[in-house]
Amino acid sequence: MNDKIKSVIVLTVICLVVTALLAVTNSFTAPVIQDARDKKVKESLRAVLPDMYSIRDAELPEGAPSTVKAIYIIDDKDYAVVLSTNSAYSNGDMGITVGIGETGEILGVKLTSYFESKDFGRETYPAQFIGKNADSISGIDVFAGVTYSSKAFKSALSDAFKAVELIKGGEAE
Amino acid sequence: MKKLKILLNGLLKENPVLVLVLGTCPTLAMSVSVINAIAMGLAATAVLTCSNMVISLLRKVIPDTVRIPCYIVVIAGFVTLVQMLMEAYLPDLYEMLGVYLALIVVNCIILGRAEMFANKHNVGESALDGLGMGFGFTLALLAMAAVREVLGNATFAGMKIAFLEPYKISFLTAPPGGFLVFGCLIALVAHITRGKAPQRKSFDCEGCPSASFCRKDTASCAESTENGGTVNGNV
Repeated sequence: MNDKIKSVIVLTVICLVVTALLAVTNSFTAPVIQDARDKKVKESLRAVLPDMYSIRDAELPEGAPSTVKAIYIIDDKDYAVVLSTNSAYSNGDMGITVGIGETGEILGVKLTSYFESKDFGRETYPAQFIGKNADSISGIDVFAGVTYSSKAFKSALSDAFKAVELIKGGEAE
Repeated sequence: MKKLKILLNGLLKENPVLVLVLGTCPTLAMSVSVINAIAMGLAATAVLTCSNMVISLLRKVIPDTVRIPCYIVVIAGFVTLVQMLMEAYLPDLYEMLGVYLALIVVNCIILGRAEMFANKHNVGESALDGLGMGFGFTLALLAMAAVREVLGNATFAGMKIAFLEPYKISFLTAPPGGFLVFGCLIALVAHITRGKAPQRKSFDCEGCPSASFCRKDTASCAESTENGGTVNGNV
C-alpha cells in the first residue's frame, strides 16, 4: 500500500478510536461533573447572599454577554449572576458568582474557580467589590503582576451588571 | 532480571527528571507541596504507562512518517481521560493540579519514552518502563516537594511542623528556590551515580525524537553527550 495512504488511514483510525474512548468516558463522567458544578453554584449563591430565602431561575435575556452563564432571582428582588470568563493570562476558565441587590450594588462576590487562584487573592480581591455599583467598580485597582486576571474579573462583573439591567428592562416592559 | 532492571532504571540511574533533565516545567511548578507532587506524579505515571503500552502495541502498524502525531494523539487521549476521571471523582485534586494536568500532554518524559523505548520493545517491557519512569518522576517530585515544603513552609503534606516555623526559608517556595533545590538534587544524583548515568546509550541522540532536525550530525552530538553535554534542551 502506498505509504502516504497508509499514514493517513492509520492516523485517522487512531483519532477515531481515541475519540470513541473519550466519548464513552464522557458519557459517564459528564453527569457527575455537572452535578458537582451545580452543587458548587448553589453553594456560591449561599456564599454571596447568605440570608436568601428563595431562589428562582431567570431566563438569560437576549443580548446578554457570553460570560453570563446563569441568572437567579433571589427573594423576588435581588439577583445572583453566575459568570465564567477566560483570562488572557492563563486561558483557563475563571468562575465567578456575584450577588447584585435591587438598588444595583454588589452584595457579595465569590471566585468559584480559577486555576491560578493561589496568587490571585481568592478571598481578598473579590471582597473589594462589595458595595460597589456598575459605575464605581472601575475605581478598584488591579493587582500588580496579575493585571490580565484582574481585568478579566472586572469586565466579568461589568457583564453581570449589563445582564441584570437587561433583565430589569425586560421585566419593566 | 532484565524486567526488574527496566523497572528500576527510571528510579535513579535514568531518572527522567534528575538524570535526563526532562519534565522540568511540571517538576518546578508542582513541587511546592507534597500532596500536589504525589498527585501530579501518579497522574503522569498512569498516562506514561498506558501510552507506552498502546504505542508498543501499535509500533508495527504506525508508519514512521506519522509516528509523532500518532503518539501525541494517544498521549492526549489518555491525558484527557485522566482529566475527565479526576474532575468527576477527585475534584479537589483536579483543581489543585490545575492547568498542569493538561500540560502532561507536552511532558517530554512521555513523548521521550514513547520514542526511545515503547516503539522498540514489547508491551510488557514498555509497561514496566512506563511504571519505572513514572515512579522515578514521582520520586523526584516528592523529594523536591519535601525539601521545599518542609524548609520553605514548615509543613509536610499540609501538616504544620511547629518547631520549624521560626526557621522557615520562604524563598524555597518561590521559583528561584525551586531551581536551587532542583540543582542540588541533580548534583546529589550525579554524585551517587558518579556522573556516568547520562552517557548511557538508551537516551543518546539516536533515540531522541528531535535528533533528525535538532542536530544532523549525530556523531558530534554523541561526542558532546559523552563530554557531559545535555542530550537535548526539551523540558
